[in-house]
Amino acid sequence: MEPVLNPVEHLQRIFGPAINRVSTNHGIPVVHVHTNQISAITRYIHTNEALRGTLSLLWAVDHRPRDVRYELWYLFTLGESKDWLIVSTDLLGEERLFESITPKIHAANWYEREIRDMFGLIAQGHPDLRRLVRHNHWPKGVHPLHKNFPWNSVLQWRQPPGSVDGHFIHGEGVFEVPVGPIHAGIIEPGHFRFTVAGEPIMHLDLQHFWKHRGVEKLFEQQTLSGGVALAERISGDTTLGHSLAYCQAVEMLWEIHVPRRARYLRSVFLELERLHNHIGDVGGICNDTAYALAHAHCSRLKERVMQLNDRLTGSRFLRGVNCVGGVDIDLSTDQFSELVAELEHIEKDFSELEQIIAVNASLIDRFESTGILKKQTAWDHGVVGVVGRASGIDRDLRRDRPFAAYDELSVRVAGSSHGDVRARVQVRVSEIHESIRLIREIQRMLPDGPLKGDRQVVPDSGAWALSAVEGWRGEILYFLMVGEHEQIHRCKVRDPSFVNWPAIQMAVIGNIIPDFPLVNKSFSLSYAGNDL
Amino acid sequence: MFKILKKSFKTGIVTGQYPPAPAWQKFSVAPTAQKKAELFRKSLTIREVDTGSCNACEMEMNALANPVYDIERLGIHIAASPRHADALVVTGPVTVNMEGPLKDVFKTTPNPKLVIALGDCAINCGIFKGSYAVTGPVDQHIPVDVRIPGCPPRPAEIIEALTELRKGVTTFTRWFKKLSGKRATDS
Repeated sequence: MEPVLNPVEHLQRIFGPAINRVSTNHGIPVVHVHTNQISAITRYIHTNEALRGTLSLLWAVDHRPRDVRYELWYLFTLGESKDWLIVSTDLLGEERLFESITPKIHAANWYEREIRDMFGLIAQGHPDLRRLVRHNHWPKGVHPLHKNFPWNSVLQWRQPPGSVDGHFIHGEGVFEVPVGPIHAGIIEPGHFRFTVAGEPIMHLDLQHFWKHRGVEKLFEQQTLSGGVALAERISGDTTLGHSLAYCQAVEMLWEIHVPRRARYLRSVFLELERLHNHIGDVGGICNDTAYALAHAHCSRLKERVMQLNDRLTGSRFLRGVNCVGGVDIDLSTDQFSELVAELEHIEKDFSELEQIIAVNASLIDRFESTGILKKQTAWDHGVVGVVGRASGIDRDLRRDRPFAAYDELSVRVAGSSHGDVRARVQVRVSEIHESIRLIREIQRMLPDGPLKGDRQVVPDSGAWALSAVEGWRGEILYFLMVGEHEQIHRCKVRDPSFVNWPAIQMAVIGNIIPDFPLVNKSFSLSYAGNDL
Repeated sequence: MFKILKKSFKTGIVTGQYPPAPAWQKFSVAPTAQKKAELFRKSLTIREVDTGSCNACEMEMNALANPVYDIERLGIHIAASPRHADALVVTGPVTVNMEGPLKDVFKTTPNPKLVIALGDCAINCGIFKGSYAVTGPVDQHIPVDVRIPGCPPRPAEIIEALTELRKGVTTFTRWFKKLSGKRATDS
């Protein structure tokens, strides 16, 4: 019998000479490979039965001025073990071309387009190299994440060229329906272009990045300790998830041991954030079928949770709760009892509402078999979070890569295999109950102790950390590389929306346009977190 | 049906069950804006435009429509199109990609109109100030009448500001008062 190899040994045996070196950083194996082999190796990781890696993140780093090279990083989450594996490669000197992996790994599609826009590095062989972040009116040759691009040279808006850069289907009876960027409801801007023949949608083309604010470049103007406020404002509804992921990355670099009490409190606040968003979304989804009663009750309950947040922390969005090293807000025993009592009340209230919703035939009729995202499609796109779990992708970082206090708590991961709107509602409903259960469990286990840990080391220039948090929407990833004098050299932020948006284009095919808001709300993605 | 009614009776009326805006957060609205808002004292229709916020301001705007705040009771409605709006509520710093749409929306909104900058980002770009993709606060592109600071402002604060805005007296009332005052002195 063959001995069981770890993934790195496995790759070394197959691609021995192509691998330059292997290292480990904070427990994550990094395989540095020749540029011309990147496509073969990533494809092997993606398709090999023993590895089955999904691409979780793909990003570039400009090492100038220290080193005249770009580095490309490919982060894979391996199938069974859910372990991480990084493959990296260098583009030396003026080299600007690299081989695209999109033809084999679909999930790389937007990442490679993003890298082209932000760095000017071109993925050769990419099937769709339209601009993604840079809208058509941006001048040529502007690549904001180049180190020699000044962060504060404001781009001038010019009238965009008349043509829209989209994928079109032509034919008799085929119509195009443009929607946005300014929508009918109070939501964020995004442009959707539907191609329909009769009622069903044949094709949906997304044009996002209207809200691109240059967040990653702004991070590079901060020191490690100064980035928390910016992380909190990447996507307002995921304030805590983002700040937690950022803080964890800095804590890894500074080797801070976060005290247990702080880790437990972080879990409490993360669950509170999950709770108010999920309750609001269940109501929002019902509202998109014109079921106003459920919406009114849900938004009332959501408001209760947000007022509770306000009473406990002084912010309805939990801003200013996290700090590097721990938390700034403590909960007294009385406050915790108030929290749990309020949640008991909310859970009872919500359960009653659930019984009303569950028996509404016209609602279920709209939910069932609407916006189906098949498991295979979800896997190909690397879909994460609630949407993934509803399509049978059994991934939850709280269980798979425990952070905060989740290593000591047992999280029951909700899931479904249907992949339709109803499945996504069901996953949310189960997660609402699970969040309340977790907070109750934490109340029993909450240890005493300090709230902040101290920094141990000064990280070298070039040190990096990768942190992950399961926010309410899904996996939030932060890659943080430090430069001179603790200045941030590169901060790659990935909100789960970025990977889930392309998948929505698949989920709506065959549905009618009036069902699009419903499907969209059931995905409930952030525009701000996607656009950065 | 019975369950729905029971639930409604059990819940009762929740409107107004929110803590008041903190006392230090007093809004003063410029008299010119108040004068402009005279027409909209009884009914104000709002179109919300997001030009690059972090979506917390949107969540608070949405919260205004929930049963707890229920701004419809104050005669404030949310319109689906700028063509139906009396006031634009703009959130977020204006990004380079949203500058065009914002100007379009402003043009499309019929006169007379108010522009309300909601949140710190809309007022001074907040934390995104200086970025290559941010072309400036809202008032650099369209005239702003009212500014509601906060990151994000609480719904109670937004309500307070909107109430303050519509406190002014109409020309008709002023004229009526003047007239009735005169009559009182006549007799």
